[in-house]
Amino acid sequence: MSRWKPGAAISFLLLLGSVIVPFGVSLYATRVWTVAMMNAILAMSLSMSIVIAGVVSMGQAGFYAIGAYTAAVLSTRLGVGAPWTLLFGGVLAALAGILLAAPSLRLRGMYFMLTTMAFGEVVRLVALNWTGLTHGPMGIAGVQGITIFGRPLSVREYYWTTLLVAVICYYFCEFISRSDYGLACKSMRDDDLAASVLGMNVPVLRISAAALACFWAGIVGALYAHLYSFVSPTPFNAWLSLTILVISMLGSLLGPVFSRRASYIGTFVSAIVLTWLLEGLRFLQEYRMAFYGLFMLLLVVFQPQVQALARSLGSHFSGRERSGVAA
Amino acid sequence: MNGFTLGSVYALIATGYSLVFSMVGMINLAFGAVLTIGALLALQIAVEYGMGIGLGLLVAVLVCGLLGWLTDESAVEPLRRQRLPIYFALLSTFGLNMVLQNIAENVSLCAWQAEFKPFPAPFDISEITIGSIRFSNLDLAVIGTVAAIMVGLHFYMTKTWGGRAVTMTASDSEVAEVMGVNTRRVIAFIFFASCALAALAGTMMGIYYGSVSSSLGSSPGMKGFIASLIGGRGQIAGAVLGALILGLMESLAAGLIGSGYRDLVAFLALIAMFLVKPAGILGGAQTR
Amino acid sequence: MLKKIIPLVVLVAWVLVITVSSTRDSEAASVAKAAVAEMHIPVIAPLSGPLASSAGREGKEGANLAVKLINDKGGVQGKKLVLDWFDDRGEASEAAVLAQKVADDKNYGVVVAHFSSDACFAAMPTYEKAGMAMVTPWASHAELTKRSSISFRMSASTAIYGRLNGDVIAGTLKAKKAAIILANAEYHKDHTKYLKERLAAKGVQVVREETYMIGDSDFRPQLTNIVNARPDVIAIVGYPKETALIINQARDMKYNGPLTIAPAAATPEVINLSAKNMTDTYMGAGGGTYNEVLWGKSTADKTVAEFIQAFRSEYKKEPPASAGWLSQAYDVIRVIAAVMQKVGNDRKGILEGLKSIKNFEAVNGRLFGDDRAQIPDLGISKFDTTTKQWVTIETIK
Repeated sequence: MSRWKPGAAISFLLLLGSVIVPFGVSLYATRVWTVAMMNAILAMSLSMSIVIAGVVSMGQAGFYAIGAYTAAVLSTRLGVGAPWTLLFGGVLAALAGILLAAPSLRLRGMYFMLTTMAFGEVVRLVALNWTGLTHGPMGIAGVQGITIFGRPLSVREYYWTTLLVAVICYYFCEFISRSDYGLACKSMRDDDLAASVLGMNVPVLRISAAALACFWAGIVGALYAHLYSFVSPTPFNAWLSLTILVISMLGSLLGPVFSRRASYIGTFVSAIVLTWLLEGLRFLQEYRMAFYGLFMLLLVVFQPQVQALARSLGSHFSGRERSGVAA
Repeated sequence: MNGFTLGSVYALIATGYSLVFSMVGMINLAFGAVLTIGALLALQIAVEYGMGIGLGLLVAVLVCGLLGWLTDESAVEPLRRQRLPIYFALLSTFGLNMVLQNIAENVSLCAWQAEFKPFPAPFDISEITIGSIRFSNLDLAVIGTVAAIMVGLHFYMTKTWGGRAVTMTASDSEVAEVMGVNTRRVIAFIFFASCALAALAGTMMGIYYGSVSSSLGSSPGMKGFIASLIGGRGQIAGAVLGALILGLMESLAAGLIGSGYRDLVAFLALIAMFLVKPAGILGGAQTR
Repeated sequence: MLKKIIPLVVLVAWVLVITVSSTRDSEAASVAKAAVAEMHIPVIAPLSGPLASSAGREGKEGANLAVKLINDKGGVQGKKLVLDWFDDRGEASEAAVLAQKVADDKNYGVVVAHFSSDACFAAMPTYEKAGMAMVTPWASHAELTKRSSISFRMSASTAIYGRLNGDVIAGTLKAKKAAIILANAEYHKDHTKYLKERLAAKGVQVVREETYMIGDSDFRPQLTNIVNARPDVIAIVGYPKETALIINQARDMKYNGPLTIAPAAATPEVINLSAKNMTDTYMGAGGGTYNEVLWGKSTADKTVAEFIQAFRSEYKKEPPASAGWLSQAYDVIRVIAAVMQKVGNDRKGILEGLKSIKNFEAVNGRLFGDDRAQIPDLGISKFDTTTKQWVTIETIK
């Protein structure tokens, strides 16, 4: 357990710091922080599947949507409330993930990514056309909010709920990564021939990693439905999927700043940073998206430089050199 | 006959994607926005400034070619140079696409004050009837142009030294380097060429539909890259095949299931293709 | 030990900076607004994204025109009227976040928002909690005002126009069989629902119904299916761009029968693109008000005349032939300003004030009806291909 200490302490304090946020800011800012937390959950679970199993999904928006629509339909048609909607949303999304991952096992690199991107779009298009279930473009309105003992949550309380889920997700990802399961996955990621020779069931490991990421995406989807009380296909597009991936990428770059080991705190932070970046750029009015796109481009292209910078910052902070290899 | 015309334009777009894909192994997601910009430029010069379609096309092709080169320089080459995984280019070109799309939207906002502008045909449309098939001379012009380009491309690729260098770089860039090919320049040139094709395709679409808007490129761009992936790595044959198959599937779906599902069919077809044979129908074994 | 605390300090500092800067931002703005003699109204519209060049831009022109007129006459309660623009890109999730931002600011007493109905639905709960009236110049979903007590809309419900479209087909054109082509989107589906309801009531058979996606350019598959079903009339339910393309492609396919279009497509762009193909084309819309009058044929309506004159002098050009989005934004600002003149910038007061309005004279008819929507002057128009204008052939009382 001693290897946990430095990174764990900082991370824990960061997460704690996020709790006090709503006390100092407006409701609007709290709302944005809530969105940031939701993005964090999406990105952390994606990071987990990338780090342990090399599963890079460019279609998380699809699973997000599945979670959101599950919650919306359950809430409006069957009167089911949270946390059941979260559970069902997560499970359904995970099942969809398994459905997609199973046949796609042997695809590598770009082909797998494009398949997931296509799947994300397929989910969106199905939601748009299957009017009977999803009301198509008109969306499902009137989703019940989350209630505690019969009292609906306020904006601040929504934030704390989402933060709680994010924190649980964070520790879940950390735990999985360092567990035997996680180590098995990593060895499979590095060399799956060797892994299968050693008796590891490669397909099961890969599919389960994907399913876990989708499970969390589904849970957040349900939270989305309750927060906005309205679900339509429009926001669940490729842009969202790619944004989540960029957050993951930035997260892995920022990781070394906070902790010696590969840690998901970087992803948590980068979700907050990028969500606020998009909000903060509002003053650019029409040109907001152009600058966000430019940022994305620069981030990807200058990735090694950012990574080096983060490493040196991190080692400077903790006063010693790193080996530089992520676990 | 109209389906054919549209299909041939899609084939052109698919060729653009295929060229890049065969070169660097990934999809240029900025292609759609470049197509739109090409169409907007051509319209602006040909119609608004009244300088005729020839000049408009020329400017559009040149500018878009430059944008293609820019895409390579800013979003692809740095990744290759630093030996980063090439699929990062999906993200970087997507970012660039956002920038270009935003510029296209704002330009159309400022310049035209309208969502879309009419794009009059450069010559009088007349009808031709052969048997029971009716089509216009515009259809002929489009199909003819596309066919000519395809033939020209094929000729270039197989007969000229430059074209052979391109093909060599596509199949194995290291070997090509050893053989004295300046792969860097070849790749840049291919990006230029593919985006020039985008400009041409965009302009033709503008003329064909009689209007141009800032969302012109998004749907055809998507269909185009799906078609190129379905067809496989062969630059031209694959693109044409993929466009044909996609067009056929879409019409079938529209007839049987309902037109709302057209886009859905395209993506499902892509997923199905990937699951069966990722390299596409004409592609070789999956090497990258 | 110190070195381990540094990153912690950095983190806490960063959290504080972000949060403090976001509060300070709105506080400073609030203080500024209260100090100067100004009344601010927030407007949330699609200023970027695909809807910007039509709805966003036209809305801006109309709203700004109204503001200028009002300020020229002395402003509201002696203070200058100022519009604060926010961009929701026409999207529901953006709308929801912006709604909170606007609701937080105590200096805002009312909000003019949004373009699309789903943005309105997403944002409405926030406005309700804040007791703030939401007036939408453009969204027209039939349930908008039913789902909430704080929403007001400028356009008549799609129910009215859908049924009117049915009347045109059944009554004016005396068709027995109709085909409908519509987009898979909320406005279109809503309109079609009421259209079919009226057609069924009048005994008109819908022989084919086809859908497309907004942004499509090729409608030949759908039109082929429709033409093969041999309808007497084709009803085109769409936004301007798609409608224009559908009209052209239908005529290209040698369909020469009558067409009806939805009021959303009554814009100059459609005329620009398809005028020569708009033979035998009808529309059930607010004929008799802005359509004819804006052409200067009749200056009988004082409100409209004032609008035309102001537009001409301010923008140095003729108002577009069908200035729907523009004039609706203009109307919104005028009616809100009228209420604010009486009650000031108070949320409760404005909400009550808007509710009690009956018969406010607007460019687009009268405000407000029983369901807090516009009461349009309805009419049926036919397109005249020689003059390239819509001509009212029937007014409906």
